[in-house]
Amino acid sequence: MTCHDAREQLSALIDDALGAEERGAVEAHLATCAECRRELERLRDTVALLRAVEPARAPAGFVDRVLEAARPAPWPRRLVRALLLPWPVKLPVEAAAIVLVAVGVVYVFQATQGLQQARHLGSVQSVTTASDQAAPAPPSQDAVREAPPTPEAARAKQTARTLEGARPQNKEQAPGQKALEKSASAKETPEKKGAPTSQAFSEAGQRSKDSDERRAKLDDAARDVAKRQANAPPATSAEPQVAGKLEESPARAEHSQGVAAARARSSAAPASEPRVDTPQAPRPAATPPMATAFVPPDVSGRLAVANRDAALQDLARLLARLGGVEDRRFVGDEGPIIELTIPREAYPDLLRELAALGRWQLIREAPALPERIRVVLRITS
Amino acid sequence: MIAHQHRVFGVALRMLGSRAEAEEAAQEVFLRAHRAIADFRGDAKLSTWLYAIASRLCLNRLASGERRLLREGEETLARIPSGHASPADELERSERDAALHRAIAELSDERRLVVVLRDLEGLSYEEIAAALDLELGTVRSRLHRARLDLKEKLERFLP
Repeated sequence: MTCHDAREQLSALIDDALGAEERGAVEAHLATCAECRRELERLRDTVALLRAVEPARAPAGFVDRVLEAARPAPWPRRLVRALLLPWPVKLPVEAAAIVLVAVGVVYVFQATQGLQQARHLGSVQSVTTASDQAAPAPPSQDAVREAPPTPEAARAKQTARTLEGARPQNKEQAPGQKALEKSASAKETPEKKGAPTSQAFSEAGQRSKDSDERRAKLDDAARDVAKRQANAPPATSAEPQVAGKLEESPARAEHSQGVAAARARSSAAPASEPRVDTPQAPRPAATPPMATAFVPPDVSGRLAVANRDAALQDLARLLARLGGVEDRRFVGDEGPIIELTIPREAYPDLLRELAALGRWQLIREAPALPERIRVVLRITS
Repeated sequence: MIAHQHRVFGVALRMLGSRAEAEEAAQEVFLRAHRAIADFRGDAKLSTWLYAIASRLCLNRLASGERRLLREGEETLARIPSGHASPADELERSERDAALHRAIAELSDERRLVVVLRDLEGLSYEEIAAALDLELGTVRSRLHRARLDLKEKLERFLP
């Protein structure tokens, strides 16, 4: 065995990891080679140095930290981690959540009549707002007769004309402001003229006391306008929505406004957002005006019945038979309020049938009834 | 785990060089062992299995280059109790320990691992071969080369 071969085995010799034959061969060489013996001793000393190194000790608390890390995270942390998903997952989930909330809002709005009533009442406010907004014209009386830029402006001026009759001292003010003032002063003028009291209209369709009063005032103002128009229809009226109908027949002016009102109501909300109109939101100028919504019905009355539900069913059958249409239904303080339209030829039948359904009390009937009569019924017990 | 924590930590410390990194690696070793306990073959010693995991993890860390460059040499030195040694002896011991550690740290990763497992942790050649998945002859030659390297560097401290 050469020195090289022997030295290759020295580590194994130290570790006692050689077979008997190998070991014998190495030891035989070492017995004859002082250099290799010296080499073995140096190597042995080196190994001894290594083995004298004190074993390392893990730091205090190491096991606890490992156990803590190995334990599954508590559920709140896992929930937070789940919520903080990667963006490609999280974004669509959040978008879907927003859509769900939006759908929920629309659903709740549709399912809650109170909100719809609020929207309706909000439109009352919008009339005054529209009148206010329609005041860019110079503050002269002539300017009022110019073609108005928007239907709102037309209506505001229409109302303003009435106002000017009552309060000519306000000429220096903008017509819109006059219209607004008319809304305020209307409570005196109709009474002076012996117009139907606000109670009449209250019977016709409103629940809230405040809104009753406000609507009645506006209603009276609008009726006043309609009457004036019936006497002298404004041939140059530029109102796009109602003017055409007004010109058809002066006698039917009031009805025409009613039709326009119904139409305005049905198309009140723009198509893009059919139901989510908030009461406070100002309507776009291009939208048909809500002002006509305050024209009173042609006929209003109260029907006292023993069983409201049965009466409502009877009424529905009656309408179907007579060719009438139920336009709207409210929940009033005393009972349901039905707004319906019926052909003039079926009107006598309606009155007769209503009298048969319960105690029928006719509260108001327009002197001239249009072809399609708008009736508001209050069903009470 | 309590029985094996120091061994695993010791290997990690000598291989990686800093206590913080060693603790991190040792923790990872036990977490991996915890997850893979089903893979543990009952015929091998648990310690050998843990050494195997620790060795692979340390070699991977060393090879990945992600580890901190800091080599806290002194930290890895074993503090041998001085007893009643004289200040001169103490100084010499301190120097020798520093040289020893430096020599170990300067070994190649593969040689260092074998010498740590054999001379510091006391594994047999067979256990090392099993832990590192090496031939017995490879273990023997690597260990011998490592010791020769160390002998050269520690020549002046040898008696």
